[in-house]
Amino acid sequence: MTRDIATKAGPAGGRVLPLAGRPGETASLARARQALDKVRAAHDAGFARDEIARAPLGAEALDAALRGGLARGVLHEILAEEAGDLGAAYGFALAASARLLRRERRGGGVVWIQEDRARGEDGIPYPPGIAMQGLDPSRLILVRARDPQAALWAMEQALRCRALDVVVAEISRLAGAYDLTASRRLGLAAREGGATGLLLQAGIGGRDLKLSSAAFTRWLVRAHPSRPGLAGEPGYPAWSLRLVRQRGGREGHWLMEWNHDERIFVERALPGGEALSGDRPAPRPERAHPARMAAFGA
Amino acid sequence: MYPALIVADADPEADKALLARLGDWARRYTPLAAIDPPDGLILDIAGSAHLFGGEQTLLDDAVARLAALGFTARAAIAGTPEAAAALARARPGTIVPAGGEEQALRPLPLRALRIDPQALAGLERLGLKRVEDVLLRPRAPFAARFGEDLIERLDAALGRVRSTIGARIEAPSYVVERRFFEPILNPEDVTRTLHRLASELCAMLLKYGEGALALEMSLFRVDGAVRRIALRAARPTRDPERIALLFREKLAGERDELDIGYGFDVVRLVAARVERLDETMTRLDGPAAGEDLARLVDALGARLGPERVRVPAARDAHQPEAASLLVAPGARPDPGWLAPPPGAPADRPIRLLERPEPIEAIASVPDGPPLRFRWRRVLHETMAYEGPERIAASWWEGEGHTRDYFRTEDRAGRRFWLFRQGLFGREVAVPRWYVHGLFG
Repeated sequence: MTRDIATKAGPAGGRVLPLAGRPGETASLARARQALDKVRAAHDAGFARDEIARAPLGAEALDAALRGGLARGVLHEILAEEAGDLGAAYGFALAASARLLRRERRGGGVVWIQEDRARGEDGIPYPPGIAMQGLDPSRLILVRARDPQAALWAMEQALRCRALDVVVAEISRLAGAYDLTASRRLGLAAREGGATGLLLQAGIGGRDLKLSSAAFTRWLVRAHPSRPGLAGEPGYPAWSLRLVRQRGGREGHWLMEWNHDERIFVERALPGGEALSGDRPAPRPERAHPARMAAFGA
Repeated sequence: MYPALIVADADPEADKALLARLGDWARRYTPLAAIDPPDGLILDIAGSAHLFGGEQTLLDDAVARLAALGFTARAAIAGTPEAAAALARARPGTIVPAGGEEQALRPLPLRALRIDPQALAGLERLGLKRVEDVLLRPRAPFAARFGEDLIERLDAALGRVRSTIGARIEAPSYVVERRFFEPILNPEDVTRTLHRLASELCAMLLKYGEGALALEMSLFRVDGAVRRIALRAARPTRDPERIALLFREKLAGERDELDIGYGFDVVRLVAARVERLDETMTRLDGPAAGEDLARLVDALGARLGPERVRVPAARDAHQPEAASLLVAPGARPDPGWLAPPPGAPADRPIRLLERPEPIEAIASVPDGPPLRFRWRRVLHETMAYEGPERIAASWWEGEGHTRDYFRTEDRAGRRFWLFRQGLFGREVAVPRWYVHGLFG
């Protein structure tokens, strides 16, 4: 029986893959298995070819690990490692949005959805500060959602809108509202509409999140001391970025600085070991000593 | 006294509310219905009487339905609201033919015109009890003796001047409705009806070149309850699919069931506000991006509430809280966002707490930076800072105290926007510290 099928011509006269029937397998089952193998091969080949568009972040090592930059039209997860790192998580999401925003288009570009609880705990996006970090607030639309479900619904709607570049959703606790199915839906919506989704959890529990999801990447963000300026003031924001999952790619850990003037990420050397070097002296009351401050970092 | 008499306290508020609900109910006959306090309803049936098989049938139907609801109603139909109101009270059941108001009003007692009681008493003392008594006499002395009110009401009733009650009813621009002999009972029928009505409404809008900015759907239940659902669109629309979708989203967002009860027998869709909408060329690659965005904004607003979808607008204010305003999309004025010159520090936070939170801070007096502070039970040691940036309180708002803002970074690299409130020694004895925002 198996031999009969192997000699039939394939659709449109194409080649038929040799059918290695397994013992005891019916013809239809063998056909099904063959079809599945073809699909798998095409899927894997697709990833190797990498048809997903990417937005370069500006730092070579990071872009190389990401195979060109932050993938567009997919869902990324950004989690704060600890509760105190929420500023860092927001900063990274903002910087990523600035890179993803296509500046040749006018009108709406970024939709930022905030769940009410996140708003109460961590405050509201502040457009003057956002402008200073390199994201034009005239391209920003701010949406408030009552609860995680409403926020995820709004994110799905926004991802489908072809006029947008980025959709950011802040949810205080992902566990419970967000699961594998939800991540698949959001990924699908992103692919249909072309917008890139950034799902942000800035509350506690980022580091321990054991959720399985279909997101393209997952980032753990932690604050890091900046390179101070000439007068000892805080410099460009810096973060420890840990890529803990990338579909079809490697994980990684980098120390990145966001240059908001040129709107690019700049890599900084990782300190040896996990502990942060906190040996800078505290500033004196009248004026911080510039020489000693500048010796660290860089 | 009568033992069988039931006595209850008068509750004018409840009566007003009931009358308002009856006004809603009365809109099943015509969208132009107003309440005539304390106990009346006025309906403009000029455009809808024919739908009921004539004025007599409409009057009988209304009285019968009100009786079924438990009310004894007296009704009359006339060419002016005042005449109809007077006849309903004095000669219920009258239907006045066109132009016959004067004839019909003549035999009525003056009380039916609802004139001020003092004037009424005065007229009675003079022996003037009926409307015809006043009509036959010269008007000027009446006005002088009893005030304008009497003459105005008479003129309004006779149609000589535009009535005041009629002026309160605003006709909506576009109305489509469906009346069901058999009330519709399931949600699918409601949805189908909504689609049909939306298509009809949009066809009308297309004919006149307009689009709807505000829509209202009214569902009248057989037992008298009325459900209204109102919608707003950011841009004028005449797309039936979109309108139907927005109504569905609105219902889903309100999370309550469409309480159908024993069924709806009238469904009406009204475009309350419209605007010119010219034919737009659709691009070959689909609708324009702006259109897509407007759809999204509408859908989000319908489901979450329109006040939850906002865009930032810049304001020239030195108070940080006031430097940015959230406005409705579409209302955004010219963008005034300034990017800082290259090399300048980004001295505004990316997040602003809704209210500055008090912190315990250690700083050197009089105006040193916070060396250490505790916020939400976590201790932070300042390793780098910038400041102070002095922001005085707005003297016209009377708040009073100057704020010195500092941009600080702690040992872990967490960056805060803190301020000291009150100048030491000059404004307060002990300044207080707050955290106002977070940096990236």
